Amino acid sequence: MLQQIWNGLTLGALYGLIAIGYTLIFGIIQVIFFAQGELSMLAAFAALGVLMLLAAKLPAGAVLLLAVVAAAAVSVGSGLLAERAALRPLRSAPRVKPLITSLGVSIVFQNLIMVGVGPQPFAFVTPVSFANYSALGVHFNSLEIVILLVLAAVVVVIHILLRRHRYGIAMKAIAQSRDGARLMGIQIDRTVVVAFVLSSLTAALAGVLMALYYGIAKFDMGFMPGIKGFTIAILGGIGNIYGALLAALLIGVSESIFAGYVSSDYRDLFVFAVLVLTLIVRPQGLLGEGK
Amino acid sequence: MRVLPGDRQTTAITWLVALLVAALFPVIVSNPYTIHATTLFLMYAVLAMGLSIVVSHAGLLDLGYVAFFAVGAYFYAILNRSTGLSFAAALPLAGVLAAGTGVLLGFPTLRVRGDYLALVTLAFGEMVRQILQNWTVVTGGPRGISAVDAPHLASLKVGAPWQYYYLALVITAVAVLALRRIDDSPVARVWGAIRDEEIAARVCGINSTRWLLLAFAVGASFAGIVGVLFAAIQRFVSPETFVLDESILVLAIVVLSGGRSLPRLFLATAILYGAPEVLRDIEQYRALVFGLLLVVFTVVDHRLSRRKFSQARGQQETPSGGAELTAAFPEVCRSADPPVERVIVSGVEKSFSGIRALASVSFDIPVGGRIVALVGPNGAGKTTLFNCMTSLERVDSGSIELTPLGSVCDRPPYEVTRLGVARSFQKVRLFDSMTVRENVEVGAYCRLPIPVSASLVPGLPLRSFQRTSGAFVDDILVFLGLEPLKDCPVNTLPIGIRRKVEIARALATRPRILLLDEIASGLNDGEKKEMSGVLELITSTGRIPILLVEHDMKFVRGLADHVVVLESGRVLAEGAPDEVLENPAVVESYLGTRGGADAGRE
Repeated sequence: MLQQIWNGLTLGALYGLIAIGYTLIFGIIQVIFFAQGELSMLAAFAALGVLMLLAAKLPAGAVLLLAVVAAAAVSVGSGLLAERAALRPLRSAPRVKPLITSLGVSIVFQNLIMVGVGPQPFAFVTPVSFANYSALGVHFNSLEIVILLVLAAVVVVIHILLRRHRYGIAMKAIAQSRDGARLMGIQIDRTVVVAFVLSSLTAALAGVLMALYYGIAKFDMGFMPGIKGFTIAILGGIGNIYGALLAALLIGVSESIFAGYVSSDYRDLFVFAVLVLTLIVRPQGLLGEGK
Repeated sequence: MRVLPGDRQTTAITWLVALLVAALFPVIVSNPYTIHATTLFLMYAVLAMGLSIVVSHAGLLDLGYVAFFAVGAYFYAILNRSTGLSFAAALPLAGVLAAGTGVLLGFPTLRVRGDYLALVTLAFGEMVRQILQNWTVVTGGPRGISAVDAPHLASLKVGAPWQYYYLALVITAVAVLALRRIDDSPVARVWGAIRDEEIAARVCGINSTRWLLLAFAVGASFAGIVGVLFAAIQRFVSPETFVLDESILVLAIVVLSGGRSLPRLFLATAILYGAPEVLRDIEQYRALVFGLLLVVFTVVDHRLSRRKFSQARGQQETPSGGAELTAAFPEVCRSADPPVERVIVSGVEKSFSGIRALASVSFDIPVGGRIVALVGPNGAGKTTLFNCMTSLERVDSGSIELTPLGSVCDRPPYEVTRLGVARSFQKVRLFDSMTVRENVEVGAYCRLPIPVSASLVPGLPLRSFQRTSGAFVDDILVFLGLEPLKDCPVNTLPIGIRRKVEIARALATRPRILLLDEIASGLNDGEKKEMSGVLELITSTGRIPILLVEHDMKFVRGLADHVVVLESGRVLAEGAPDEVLENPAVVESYLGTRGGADAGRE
């Protein structure tokens, strides 16, 4: 049981990184940016590329660092490209249109990798080995601790940003009223770009950590975590970072327990049931919308 | 798709010719594979028609559309194998089952936020696939269900490709008739209203959740019915058919057909379904191309429509707003029930994340037959108070009572409108894809029972409803001098006319009180004068009282019988206009200086 809970916390932390990206974007432009999970996937492949090219030539730590940098660059680049090409031209359009294009972007990203690299899973061999520990009958390794620490760090950074930094404050203003924010001299486009940079960065971290955790990278690896990420964003209260953190850990742990004790085949169905139940019982989410 | 009366005949002839060609097709082309492929083409066209109801009419995104297709196919396959359910019986049952599934899925989602439907259906599609894959006892798991019965129609057993073709053709023809009926029906108008401006639709008395649910369920029923046809044609079902890529294909067809033109929809189906069939080499790039198409086409289409819009605006002569008021008050828009006598606001508070928009507002004003103005500096809480009165915002505490309507808090906005509260918006909210007349008609639906089945089923009588609502609307258009512009698309009209259309729409709901938010802003002097005349006609002889939010003091002074001044969410003063607007506290807070007050009076 404790083992399931620990595994669930790790799983939840991975989903949580994606959920935070969703919630940031939805909070500011009210569009479900479907490609969030695909940005993680692209980041994982970018990291994999660096590993394959440089693993033999540089020390392990340096390779891993470069892989993370490449992942972040690819994710941010793709995220910004998507924003510029598919979302910004539709800012005044009926709401269904940016939803359609953001879905289109996610299909394009998936299929670029499927066609260009291949549909099969690729082994994601880590350049560094992770130490294994055991306490209270729970086995864990240093990667899992890193995953949890990364999530904590991301939440803290975004918390500070939203409280202190002018772009963080601008984001909150736009979320409340786009017209009002514009009248106050806030540059909408630039602030949206900052939000996309942030969410792409969290997606990149999620992608690299997921690939390390599962040991593979695959073109559709972002699809299910993407859906679960948005489920978490709704459960936590859309636009609410702390809600997303709480919901991520809850979903991760309960999914892990469900998979361990009830059925592993239907673990995704379990999360879907949680989504529908949330919409029925507590549509505003656990901690309320937008903070 | 809007059919002008003169075009109706030509359109009918075109459809007949198309049907004739389609009917002769198996005679001309004898290759069974081609006939089979064409049957599947028809099937995808019908799927796209169903999805276009959801996406193009209602403005919702359904990404799990193929799951409803699966529901129909598996329903027939399972029950046919276990109980021998016949094809003919399965068709309508599958439609009902798919619609029911749609309601179960759509209700919790649409109640919260229409946009969530995209995510929930995306997940639903994947869940259905996983269930088909894993629930082996019932669904046959990955291997699916084979040896499904071919359809029996009376004594005829359908088996040859050309027989399936005609079966599909009949279903397609029925679907085309249904869609043509829907296109110009009141229900489509309601969907369009919600799609264009959901908030305005709600204050027109429309329960948007219910209507969106209807669109979602009707769309799903198309997929359920086609699912049965598919299972009968293939005589075999397996999870491989019902994957996300298929939903994307159907969505791409709908997007490429660009809305509600059926010929374009058939063309788009031919391109997107047909091309990969013909060019087998590009099969692996199919999804990539569809993804790109969704992005590029949507963006380009939006750019083009904006350009067309600004051209239309540039070419049009500004219609004169200063026409003499000749028509009398349209009695049709007077409610059968007595108008509102008193507005009693007691201790209303409303905060937005810490900012108190209304800090305990109280007043009790006899409004019967009068025009009451709410004035105050920006941020005083005037619009917020209107939003609370129409239930678009929920009060934190306190109550608003409109005697004899009763309390308006704790009711959904559409119910408040049906009680008799109608309003306009500071930032005009019209249904921009519609004409002047259609906008006003949506308001009129508030008091007319919308014929749902006649809107969806071809053949049922719809004319008498259209005549009733038409006559109703005409009187109001004449009254406001909008009659000559009735067929203009509202998005090309200048602000003065747009404000009048909004008033016309509000009047069409047969209100017992009218709330008008900054109705004079953006109008020139002539238009303002005319607007005053209109408002006086509406209130005179005790008809419909008006509550007015206004910044233009000259306008207020000339028009209002009573003034309430709000400042920082509180009532600063109230009384007769001359008295209140001379009050030193009011002058200081609102007009700033004595000079300002004089300027207001000049």
